[in-house]
Amino acid sequence: MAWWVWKDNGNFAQILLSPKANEPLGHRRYWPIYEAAARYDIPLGVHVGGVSGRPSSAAGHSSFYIEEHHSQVQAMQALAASFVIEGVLERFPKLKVIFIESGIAWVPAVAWRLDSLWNQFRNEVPHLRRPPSEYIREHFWFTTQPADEPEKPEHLRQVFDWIGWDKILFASDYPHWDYDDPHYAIKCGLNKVERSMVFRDNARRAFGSRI
Amino acid sequence: MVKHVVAGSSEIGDGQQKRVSVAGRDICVFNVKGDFFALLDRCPHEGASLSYGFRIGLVTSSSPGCFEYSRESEMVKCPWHGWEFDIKTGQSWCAPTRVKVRPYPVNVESGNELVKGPYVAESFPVSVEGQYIVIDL
Repeated sequence: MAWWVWKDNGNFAQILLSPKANEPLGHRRYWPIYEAAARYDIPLGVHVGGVSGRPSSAAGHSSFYIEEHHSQVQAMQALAASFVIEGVLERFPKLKVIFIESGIAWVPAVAWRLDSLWNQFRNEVPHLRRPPSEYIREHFWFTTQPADEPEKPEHLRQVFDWIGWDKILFASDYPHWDYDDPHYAIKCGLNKVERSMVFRDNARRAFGSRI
Repeated sequence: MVKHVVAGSSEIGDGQQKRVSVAGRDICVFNVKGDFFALLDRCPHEGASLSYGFRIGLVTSSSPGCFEYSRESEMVKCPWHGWEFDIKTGQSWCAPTRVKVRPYPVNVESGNELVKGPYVAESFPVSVEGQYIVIDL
């Protein structure tokens, strides 16, 4: 199969993927995409949603819209695990992956769990030379929308601290109804440096010369 | 407290609402079954204009699978993220003490009484025959 990438076309800033493909996105059959992305320094953007025909939740189909909305996060969590565990990030050290509209507060908990499991199952996956959390921190960006709203806003700040302030990308999801207003959505408040990073500088680094 | 005349009483019909500007604030006036209520026109969640919100009743349930509908048009649903607010109190349904919109006292007064003063009508002529929606600020 021949792949070509419109690497020289200035209209493309990323390669957009759906988290609900035929197989988890870390699988080998998708590696030619990642090879091209890494070679030409184009980030992958994985946007929540998609219609694989399978339920969003591993437990089966949702009954309510609120439930379905929440279930989308599961696919993103599975995606994060798959990219790390299959060794995609080990094989393509320059690959950048942007998680779009995936929610953000689950990231540290998933990373802690994967790290703990890596300690136990390392010799099943010897291609993972480092703890999963290191791959996550190095290769993944996360958008702020939908902004998580813990009762204590400082808890959100702790999540950002863990992920790394250089890996947070503001997103509005305009014109969707669950859009985030740039002035009010991030309730933990940002200082000047954080604001510059989240609203501009991190995007420049993630997308490089493509924006 | 200063009386601000914001509209003629027949301008906002039952079930309707209108945004008005009072002393630099955007305030939404609601007509709920002939009574008027006023709330600051800014959703406490992320600042949306509640005057663009949906007038709904209250959906409650005695058990899963049962739906009861009451208080028709007494709630406003924020157009952005859907928070439900009780128009009469400004309290959100889901977090009534933590998330609420500021209510303002509003009455209907006759032009006859109003012209005795004092009142403010920033862009509004008051005549003695009329009935007006007045917000106390």
